[in-house]
Amino acid sequence: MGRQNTIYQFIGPSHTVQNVASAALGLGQILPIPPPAANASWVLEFWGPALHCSDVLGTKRNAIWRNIWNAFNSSNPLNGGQPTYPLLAWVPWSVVDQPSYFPDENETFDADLPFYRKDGYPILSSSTMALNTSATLFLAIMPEMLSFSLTGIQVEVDAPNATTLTFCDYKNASTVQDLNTTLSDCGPMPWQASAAFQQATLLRCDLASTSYSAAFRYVNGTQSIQISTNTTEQSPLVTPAYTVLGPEIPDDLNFNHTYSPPSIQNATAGRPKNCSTLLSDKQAHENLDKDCIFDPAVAQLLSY
Amino acid sequence: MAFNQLVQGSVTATFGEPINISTTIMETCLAQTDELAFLQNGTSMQYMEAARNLETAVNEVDGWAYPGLASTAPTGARGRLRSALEDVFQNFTLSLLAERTSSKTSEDRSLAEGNPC
Repeated sequence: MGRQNTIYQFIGPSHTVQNVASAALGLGQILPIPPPAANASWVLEFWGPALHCSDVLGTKRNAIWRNIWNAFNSSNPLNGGQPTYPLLAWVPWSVVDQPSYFPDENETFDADLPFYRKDGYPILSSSTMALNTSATLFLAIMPEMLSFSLTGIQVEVDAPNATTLTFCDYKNASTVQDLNTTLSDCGPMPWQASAAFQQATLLRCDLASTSYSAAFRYVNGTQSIQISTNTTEQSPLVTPAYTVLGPEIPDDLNFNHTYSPPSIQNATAGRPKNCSTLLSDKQAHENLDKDCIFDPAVAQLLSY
Repeated sequence: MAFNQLVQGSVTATFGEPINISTTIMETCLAQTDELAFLQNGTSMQYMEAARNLETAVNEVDGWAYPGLASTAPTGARGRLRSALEDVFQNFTLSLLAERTSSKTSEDRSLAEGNPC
């Protein structure tokens, strides 16, 4: 009797983790952590993920502005208006989404760009987690887009040759220089598409494995936590695991419990040795016959 | 991923309509950072002029320390978005410890010091 390997797939954070995230971000503080005594202090050192954010500059910045502009320009004004985007926050497109979405002309597929087309309409990446690549989050804040939602239509209404309610032909931008082309034929006020991105912020945040040192101090139950992270050396970027291999379920149990919970294998005698590392994604598929398992509790603990 | 689910999404503005917020980032403390303060009113420009936001008006009259229910911190009072993002993620990471130890009863605790955003 051989053993069957099991591929476990990460389908999202548990409600518990999501609740913690909502509470911590809503409050803007570390949640209360019960101390062992009203007056206590200790230091906890551990490796954990940390978010490192930086401004997006250079060609990537230009490519993202152009992509956003073209998405705005190509949205259908008859279908609920032509929205502008004062704020966009997205995760790079996942590999599984890419076959269904298409780049504009003059654009090659770059998973970092926010918009691709489906049935002709721009669709914002709805990926929630980067797969097989570093965990990255982009944020674009474009305050001028808000005022542009007002002035844009004024230009259209005042267009001297407008006979129907059509929007200005702003032209798609095939190069970043196109964003700086003055648009003088669609209204009384010359206008450049680049104006939409003045005073804009474009951030890229990556998840990095980081050495934490947290000093807990409680005085009469009042919590104080001083955190320091190791920033003296380059922290390796975290690559999320979408699937992990194991634990193996013996054939006889698998037969009776097709969807056995991971704990079922714990009761089985003769279980194979533990894997020294979690095998993820491609590794897992290439090691289906590997005679080892991981502790499901470890994977649960590492899920984030 | 839990963090991303709170932050990602979009805010879109269409002429003549209230701003459409398709993200929960505006429900987090990140909304009070310098960069996102311009969205705090939740209305597009023509709406701001036509219908003043009562909360904003109250703050302007009595200052942000106004003790009533409408009292809020002034927008943009929480610093830069970049550092706030890094700090709230760190707080989130540490807060997972709270969940693991939450089975213990604890009373009379105050919140952690340090408010990144």
